[in-house]
Amino acid sequence: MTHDDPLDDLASAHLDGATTPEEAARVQADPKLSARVEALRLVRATMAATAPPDSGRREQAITAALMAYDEDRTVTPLTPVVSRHRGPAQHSWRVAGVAAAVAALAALVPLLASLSSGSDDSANTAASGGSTLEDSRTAQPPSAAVDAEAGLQASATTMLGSFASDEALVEAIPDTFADATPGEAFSDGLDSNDCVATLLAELDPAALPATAATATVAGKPVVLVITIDEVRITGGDCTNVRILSR
Amino acid sequence: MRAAQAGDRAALDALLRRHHDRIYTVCRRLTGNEADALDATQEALIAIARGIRRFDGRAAFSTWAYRVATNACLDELRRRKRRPTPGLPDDLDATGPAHVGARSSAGIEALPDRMAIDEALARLTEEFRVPVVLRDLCDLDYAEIADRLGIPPGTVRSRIARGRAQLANLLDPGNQQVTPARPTSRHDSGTSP
Repeated sequence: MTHDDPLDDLASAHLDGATTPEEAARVQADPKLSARVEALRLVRATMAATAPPDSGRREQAITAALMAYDEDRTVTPLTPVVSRHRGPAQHSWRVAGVAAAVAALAALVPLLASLSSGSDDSANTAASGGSTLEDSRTAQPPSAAVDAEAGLQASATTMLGSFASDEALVEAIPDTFADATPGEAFSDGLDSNDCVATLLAELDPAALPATAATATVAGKPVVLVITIDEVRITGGDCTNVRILSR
Repeated sequence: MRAAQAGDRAALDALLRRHHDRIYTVCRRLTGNEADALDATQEALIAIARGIRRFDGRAAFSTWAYRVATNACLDELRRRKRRPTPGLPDDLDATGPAHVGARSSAGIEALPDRMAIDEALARLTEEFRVPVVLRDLCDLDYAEIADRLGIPPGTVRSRIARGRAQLANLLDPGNQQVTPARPTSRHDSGTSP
């Protein structure tokens, strides 16, 4: 049978119970089709057989998870997790991510203050955004583990800038911004921030980790939470959440 | 599970150990290689540890945990696409098919061994391997897979059929009508069949 053979499609669908009664009868009446179904069934049966990883990697993974659990319990989140086997590059991304989270926290305070003021004056909001950018660029990570280079890298991405639309903002987010899992401990650190907490609460736990940032869209400041798949953006009322795919 | 949700670290430890190997298997199959599977497994366990307090119990814990693992693996695959692609392993020839689980000239009559299925799965491109694994290992239905992968259910069905057929052919030395299981370019893997 070839890859586009409709008989393969029929046999596969029959295996999944996705055939009509007529199709099922056809499969059962055709020895070749029935044999193909059985061949596919055998392949499926082997799928679960694989050797477990060595015990060292198993323990490393479990230890990393327990550390994350402990961090959440103690609400002292800004500790890098166990680095993965690919080495220092990813670890530095994690450190940078933590720094980004810290810098974003610093940036969000004045931004949220401006949001809560309810001002619609575009000049004021633009000025607020500029102030936020300035604040974020000068924010220093508090952890001694965060080196200067990482701090600069992180703070430069905290305030993403001014954009004409949500779409333009999402387009401008670097692929690596949430991809390298910065800010894994970010949610706890921002739980006291209503807007970000609102955004995070609506995330599927499986979508975490997420990281947050600020920007200005059409002259108005926004808060956004970025996961690997999507960006959630909200303005002053925290309830009008726009969800865009990355 | 409830104890872990309530803050019992030992309970979470036990829970993670109980499910670790199964989660690793899901990741090993989805990613197609051990290094990415190890990374994805660790990310999945961390996500489970972080998310367990929010787990609402509407589904079985294992169902939820494997869903988290699946997402971690799909994330890992997305990361991998953005990384430079090393050459294929020396023992994997991208130019055409090769049977990897020779058992019988009459076809697959017994369960292929673990190494054979590992190698056969590694020869499938992601666009076929992932739907097959989500269906046959994770037991997701077409609609769930479509939702997870962002492709139409009809495409899911087609990819599963083609992926299974390629696997069966790779494991069956008697079948000579084998479709090349790997496109000529790794960058082709995101296209529809």
